[in-house]
Amino acid sequence: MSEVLLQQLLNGLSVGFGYALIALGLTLAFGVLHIINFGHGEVVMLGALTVVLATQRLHLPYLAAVPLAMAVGALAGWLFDALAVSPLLRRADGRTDILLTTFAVGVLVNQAVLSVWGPAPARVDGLAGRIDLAGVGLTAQRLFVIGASIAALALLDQLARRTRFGVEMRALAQSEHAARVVGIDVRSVGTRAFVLAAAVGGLGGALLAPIASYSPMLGQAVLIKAFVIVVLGGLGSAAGAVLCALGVGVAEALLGLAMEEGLAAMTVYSLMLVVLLVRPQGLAGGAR
Amino acid sequence: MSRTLRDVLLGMAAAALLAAALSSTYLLDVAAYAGVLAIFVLAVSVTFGQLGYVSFGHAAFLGLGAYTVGVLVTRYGWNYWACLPLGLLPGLLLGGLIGVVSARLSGAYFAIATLVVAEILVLLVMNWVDVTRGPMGLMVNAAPLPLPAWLGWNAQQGYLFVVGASLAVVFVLLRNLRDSATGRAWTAIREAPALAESLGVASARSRVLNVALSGAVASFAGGLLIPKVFVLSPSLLGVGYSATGILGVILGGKATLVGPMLGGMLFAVIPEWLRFLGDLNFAAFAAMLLVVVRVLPGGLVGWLAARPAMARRLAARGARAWPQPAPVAPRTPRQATVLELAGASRHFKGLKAVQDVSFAVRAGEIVGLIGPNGAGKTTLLSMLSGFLPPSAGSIRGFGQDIARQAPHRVARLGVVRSFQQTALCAGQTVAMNMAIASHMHRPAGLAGALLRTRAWRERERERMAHALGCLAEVGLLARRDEVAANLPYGEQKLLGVAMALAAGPDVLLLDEPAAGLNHVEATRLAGVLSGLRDKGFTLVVVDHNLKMLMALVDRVVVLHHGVKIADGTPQAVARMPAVIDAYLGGAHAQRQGAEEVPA
Amino acid sequence: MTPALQVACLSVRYGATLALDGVALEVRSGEVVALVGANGAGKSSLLNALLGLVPHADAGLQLHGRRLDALATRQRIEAGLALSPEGRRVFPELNVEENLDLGDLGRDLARRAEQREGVYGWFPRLRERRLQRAGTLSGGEQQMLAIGRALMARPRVLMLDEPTLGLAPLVVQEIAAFVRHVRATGVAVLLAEQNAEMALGAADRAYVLQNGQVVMHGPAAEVAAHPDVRAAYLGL
Repeated sequence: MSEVLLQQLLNGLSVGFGYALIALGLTLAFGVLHIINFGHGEVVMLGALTVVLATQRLHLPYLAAVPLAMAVGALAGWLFDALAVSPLLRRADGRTDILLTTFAVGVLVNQAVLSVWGPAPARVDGLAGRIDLAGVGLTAQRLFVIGASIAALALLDQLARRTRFGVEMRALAQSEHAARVVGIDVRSVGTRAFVLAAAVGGLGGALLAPIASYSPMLGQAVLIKAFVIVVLGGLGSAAGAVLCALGVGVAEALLGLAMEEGLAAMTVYSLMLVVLLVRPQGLAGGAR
Repeated sequence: MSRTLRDVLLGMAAAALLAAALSSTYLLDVAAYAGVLAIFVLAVSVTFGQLGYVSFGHAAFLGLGAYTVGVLVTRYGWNYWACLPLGLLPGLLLGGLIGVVSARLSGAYFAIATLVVAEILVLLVMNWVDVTRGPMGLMVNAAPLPLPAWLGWNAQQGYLFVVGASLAVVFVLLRNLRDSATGRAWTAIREAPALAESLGVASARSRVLNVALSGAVASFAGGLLIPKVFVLSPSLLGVGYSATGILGVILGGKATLVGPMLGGMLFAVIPEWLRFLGDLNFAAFAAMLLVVVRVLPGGLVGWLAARPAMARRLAARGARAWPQPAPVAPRTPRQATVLELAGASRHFKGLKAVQDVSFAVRAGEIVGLIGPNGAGKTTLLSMLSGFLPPSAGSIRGFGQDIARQAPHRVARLGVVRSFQQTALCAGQTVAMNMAIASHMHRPAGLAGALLRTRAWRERERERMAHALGCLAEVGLLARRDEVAANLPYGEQKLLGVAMALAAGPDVLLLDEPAAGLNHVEATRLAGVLSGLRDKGFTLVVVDHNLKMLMALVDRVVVLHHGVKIADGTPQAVARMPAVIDAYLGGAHAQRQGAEEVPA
Repeated sequence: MTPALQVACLSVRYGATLALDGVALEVRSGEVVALVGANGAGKSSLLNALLGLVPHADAGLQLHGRRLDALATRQRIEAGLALSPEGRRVFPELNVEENLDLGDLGRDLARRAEQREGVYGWFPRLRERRLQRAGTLSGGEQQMLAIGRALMARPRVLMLDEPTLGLAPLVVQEIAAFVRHVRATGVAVLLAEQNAEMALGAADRAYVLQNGQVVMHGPAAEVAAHPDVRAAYLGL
């Protein structure tokens, strides 16, 4: 029995790492720019779509498709920023309107994908193979998700701490006024942060596509889950987002053993509401 | 005939005409859908447009209403039209609950929490198959509306009439509510929440009422949706409809009720009209929305209203007959000591903002509170008005403990403050700001406001007269129709004083009222303040304009680094070495020692 | 001699409000100029406009003869202007050293380390707290950090916006001492203060701002002795 639990735990962790990347994209946008990006789900979907098209139409190996998905994500992020974010940040009420413009652009992206490639879901083969140890095992794909996610998280951490861009992002997150006073080009840093967030989201989509399978509706499903994770972890806290993502992944997997999917999801969401009521700033969030 | 009744009847007549005029099934269907969406988007605008809270889960109310009515009809065999009004209840209850929750969450957190509530309901509906038939959908057979035969209408026309009539009633009632104290309180909470509390608006209760009402109207719209969709599915509670609600408000324009109504209608009509584009119709619509948000920040109606010709007509309509300003009534002292601080302290994470301050304020006196920047004066005022609880010590007003009371309760007790950073509803006119400030004056009930009874109209007139009287007291009556943000800084400060006055206090706590005033204006302000004192008001005034202040006040309390270092007449205090040292700097004290001549 | 900083005619509007109305001033090399005025008089607006933080029409801004009007904030800093803003505005989650490093726009790490040493020389307490998060510093230490951060840009004109706000008298004295001594290194100082006495005591010349206009200017001692100033600020 405990083997089954352990197996589910490992499976849940692998999905959780994928969620972590997706949630990180949202929390990055909120932390640095203080905006909610309602189009983020569609960027994740584009990452998954890229992997599908690259492996099935272009016959590229999966490992080559993954960086391509990141690039597509970055490009989509740049588009979102140009259309839906930067022009509105100058406005007084801009941040509320950004909720809507990012949603609208998300719909446009979704509709475009539906028109060109249709609504059918698609399966993607990731890495083949499996590693077993003492009764539990992980597919190579799941191992790759965990490995790639950890690598990406480590890289991002180094970026935030060691590079000039990283310091500028953190400065902007802490005080926009002070950032201006020291001459930081706030608009440029904001745009680059947004594009980075989208690239990370695209990566998450590419990693999860072989596990969760692709569909154009992937974006919407992912978005709500990502919000739950990000809010639970505390809007703007990267560590909080990652920890909560792992928690949600594991919780889903374990609850899935005991109850059917719909009920499991309801439980997770209800839990989130309770946490929010008890601790309005999320588990790790500071006051904003 | 009252305007309310007249407008409702007009709306119903228009609905009847439309129902009679249209014969095509398709057009009737689209028109009815437009009406229902209009009601839904109006509901969303109550919370999003008026209160300023973004809700991404308003479809929860819509779906809840639809399913409640649907289940009552299919499972218990009730008549659809009899159940329809009951559709208000689930939204009212859930809305009230969410309104309570809004005290803890705001902004993005509130939006996401509502989204999650809706998702939970979707999952509930999908899984409670016994009752809702889950994803298969609940087919509801709504019996046609019993109509007199001579009308010659079919079922669809009857349905359209009911939708149109409902829309008329909802619109008129919401309009009445918006232009009443309740609606004004929502505007205040949206634009300046701290100010609202200081003027006696019980924000928590006001928010609950708002979301409950909004939920009720949205769930009513859900019930109305049944004959149009025929089969209820869990997607009614989903992101699609929630987004429609919010986007409809943005498209039409947040600032009015006509805007959301129009937005909702357009959301029904335009995708239909765009059907010639085939599958791309929704995409085209999304593109349109993007353009509107980017290019027309005020939405369609906002853009229309800004057209010079339209603006002139609206201004002419707004210049209604103002009542005569009622002069500010003198205050009779209730007690000898109105405010008493004993050992009051306030710490912030290692910073001792106020340390062990004790003094009393007697009825009818003007006390000046001075000290260098950062001395703790504003913190002290915040503690006196309920905005900050003291870390230690007691604060009493009129003999009651006000230390841990909410600001609106302290205001109701008779202690009202103004703010150092101008707190105004910047986008509203001076008159509207004053109306908001008169919130506590002659309060009227909700029913009266909704129906515009004679009693209610009488009280509104009295309230406006009181508001204008306070405006006249500070000399700003001529600026009545100006938008508050356009006033020069000094006049904005004066407006802040007028608003505090309109809350009907016995004690006024004024935070730097003379900041930004030139010599002439400061003298005028001093005249206003001493005039208020002569009428029996008690004032505590914080300011840096020492020339004006020292001449005005009866007593001065000096704070330095959170500690009270002096308390006495202006002349005595100005001579104290400790005060000179603190406020004016050590070097000056040495020079001063040689040249000082007693006043 | 070209003044270090010259403003011909600066006006700043926020919406319909005129925060600054045709302000003209100059700061000469190696001098300390005080800018005094009540809250709302426009002192912060002036310093923010000089740094390019708020938009303004062509005002004839010159730094050592170089025209600043069309330049963005970063370029004005590179030209030699730096600001310690009102309310200090340090980056709370970054440590002292990271805060200081953000003040240096250059890429030469050796030069940056050298500059940091200079700042630690002025404010030894910052060296002690190098790796401490700025949000946990006391008010006085945060103020020194804000000034140090501005110094990292190697400014020729250092602007200080209300540096003594809410600080203990001892710290105020330290800052006054710093202001008097920093000009020996060739830096000119523009000091905006609501604490008129401190500012006038530390300055060579002074401008008095009221409702966005310069109502008086001249040598600091004369301004301090003027009866109107004494009445307005000293209530006598």
